[in-house]
Amino acid sequence: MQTLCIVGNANSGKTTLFNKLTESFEHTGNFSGVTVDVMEKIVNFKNDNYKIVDLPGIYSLSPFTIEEKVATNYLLKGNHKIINLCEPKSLKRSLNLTLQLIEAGFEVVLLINRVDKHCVSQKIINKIKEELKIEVFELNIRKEKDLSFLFNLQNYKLNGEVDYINKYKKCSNFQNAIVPIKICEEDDEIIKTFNLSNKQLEEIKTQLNKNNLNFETICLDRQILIDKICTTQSVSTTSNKLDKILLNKYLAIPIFLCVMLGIFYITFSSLGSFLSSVLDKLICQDLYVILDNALQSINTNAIFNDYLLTAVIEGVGSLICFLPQIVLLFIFIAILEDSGYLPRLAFLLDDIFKKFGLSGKSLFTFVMSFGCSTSAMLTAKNQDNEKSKIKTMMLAQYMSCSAKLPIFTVLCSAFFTNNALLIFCFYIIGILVSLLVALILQSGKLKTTNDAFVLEIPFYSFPSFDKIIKVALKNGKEFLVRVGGIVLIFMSVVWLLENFNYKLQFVSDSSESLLYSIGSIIAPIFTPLGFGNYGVASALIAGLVAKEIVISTISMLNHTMDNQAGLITSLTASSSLVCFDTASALSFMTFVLLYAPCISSMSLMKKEIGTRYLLLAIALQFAFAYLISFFVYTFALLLSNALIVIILTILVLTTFVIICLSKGKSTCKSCNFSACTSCNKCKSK
Amino acid sequence: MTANNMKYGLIYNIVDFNADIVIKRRLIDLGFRKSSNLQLIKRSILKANFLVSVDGVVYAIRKELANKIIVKEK
Repeated sequence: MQTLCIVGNANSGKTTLFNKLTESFEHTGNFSGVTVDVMEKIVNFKNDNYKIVDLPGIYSLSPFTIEEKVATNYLLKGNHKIINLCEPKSLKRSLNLTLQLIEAGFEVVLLINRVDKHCVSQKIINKIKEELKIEVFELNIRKEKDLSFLFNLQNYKLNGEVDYINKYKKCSNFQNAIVPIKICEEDDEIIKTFNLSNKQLEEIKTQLNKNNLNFETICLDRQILIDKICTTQSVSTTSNKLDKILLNKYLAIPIFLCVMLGIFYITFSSLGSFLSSVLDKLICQDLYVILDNALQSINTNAIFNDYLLTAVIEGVGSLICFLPQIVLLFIFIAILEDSGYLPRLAFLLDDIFKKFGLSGKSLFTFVMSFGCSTSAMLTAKNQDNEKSKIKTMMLAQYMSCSAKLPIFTVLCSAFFTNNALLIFCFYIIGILVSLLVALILQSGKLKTTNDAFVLEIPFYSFPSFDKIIKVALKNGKEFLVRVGGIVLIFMSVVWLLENFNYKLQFVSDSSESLLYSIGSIIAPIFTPLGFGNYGVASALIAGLVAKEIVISTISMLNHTMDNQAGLITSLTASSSLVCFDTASALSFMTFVLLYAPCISSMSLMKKEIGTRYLLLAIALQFAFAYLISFFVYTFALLLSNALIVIILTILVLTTFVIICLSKGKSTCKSCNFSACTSCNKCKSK
Repeated sequence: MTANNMKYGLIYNIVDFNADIVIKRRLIDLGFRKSSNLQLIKRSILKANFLVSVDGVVYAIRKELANKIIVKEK
């Protein structure tokens, strides 16, 4: 089976090509570092199997970031055929990678993507063919319908030849020039992967010295060849004009806040709320009655009836009407990702993030966490170092994911007006707490500076309609699968606990149930927060599995007849098992926002950052959730206006962040480098 | 002078790097090669980082890194 590896600079369209070749729908976006792991898929073409491999973007065979290390290690382990993607706007930089692939002896075919946006002259293409002796194709992957030629690479010349390589090759006994060249480049990490003996290493170094070959010569050799092929390109003027407005020092932050508020308004108040109520009316309201009547007419077992109506219909059904809002949120995130606005925000916010030991790249993870923090955490691999990755993953949990959306929507509808603004404020609280946690982590072993932060800023582009439809369908389907899978299973468990005692006898009085026994032990912990009730405690424990289960459990315990209006009314009625007042509702929402990651996030964190940091993350989240909820509850008892309480909380958190920041300044004043270890003045200290 | 001191509207040439081999290699891989054209496009609000254009590709870099790029006016 042939392996075809898709290799190229970040954001050159590799995953789009992978999706086309394998008919998949892997995540793409208009910024660097979207793909952070190796993706493989086997496809059959004319009775032959091909393994298509999508690798994270690289700029050379000397990796710098975590995901670049993943890509380079994969490449150097095998003898693959390479589909090398490059972009016309950064042709010089792309050719630098192409040359390194040829130096390493890979079979390469060069694809120049997005030729509709920036054309490459035939003269340059001929020059590439002539100088590198490889096959070059021009195309626009998004629009290209026939990519079958990529399965017939044997018909083309793939072994590139470049004159300067021979003088390096002669310095060792290896078939290709990568070892002597990496020794010239002093890339010790890559040299280690070749398992050279000290004797071999010394011999190659001697030969290189004899021939006066070093880092400067290899850089020069590549540069001369690239300059021979192409000249400097100009910057897109449309993007520059837009940047003048969107990155204006007075307008940038207000525009960003307006964009975010607009997204929240459409998702939670206007369109989202309307679509949600339509779905609630169409599906939920009548379903309970129809099923109840049907079950009564066929005379089924009473316990089974209760299970079907409470656990399945009330518990799971109450979540389904949030489908439009969740899909809308994912669509907006996809539009942000595709437009090219996100990297610009990362540039703007890097100023602030830097003070917290983060880099602008963390923004990609945080924004994606508004959708699903588990999948967003994977993007933390685009960080430059391990400590930044651990920190970004821990902080992503404070961003309010879409699973918490039903909780906020229901409670806000029950107790407050101005829902969108209040929910927006909760998102701000999440961000502020994450900054506080970042400062705590920065004062310990996870201190980082990220001074070598470099982020490519792509041109603005229109999000493709096709992608938006696919995002909506994919996330809608995933939500329904989640609701029908893990939520249903755990609703069944909660139903069993609510309806049976420890002797496994069916009980009609819930105060005799197992759920009451368990919930009553935990409930007093939450009394100072205003919701020390066994039903809420049980919902919070169930929410550790998936946050969606919190609202399903409440709906089931309150027997809300499976509609949103019923659920909202039940929360305000003191006769309900789970009920709140304004103060406890605010406190509960704050607690849910911050209290712990869901089980899938926990398992991913254990794998990526280890048990020690996972436990630290959970402890910090619980401590902050408890403290801030207590604060919110106390203020809400004193002040009647919920918005004032939340704005006050935001102001207090902001003050804390500013105080902590002013205490933690550590930049070297003589050399202006935060991680200074080399400046003479710092050394003498 | 370093890239930190670049002015709007002027084009600069990269002359050298005042950095260790790892950062130097990284910068070169990203296209910050000697004799490349460098241009300041935008400073951030707190002026702690810049948008620069290198041979047509736009990057956001921090002033600490810009301090390591030696440039001269073209």
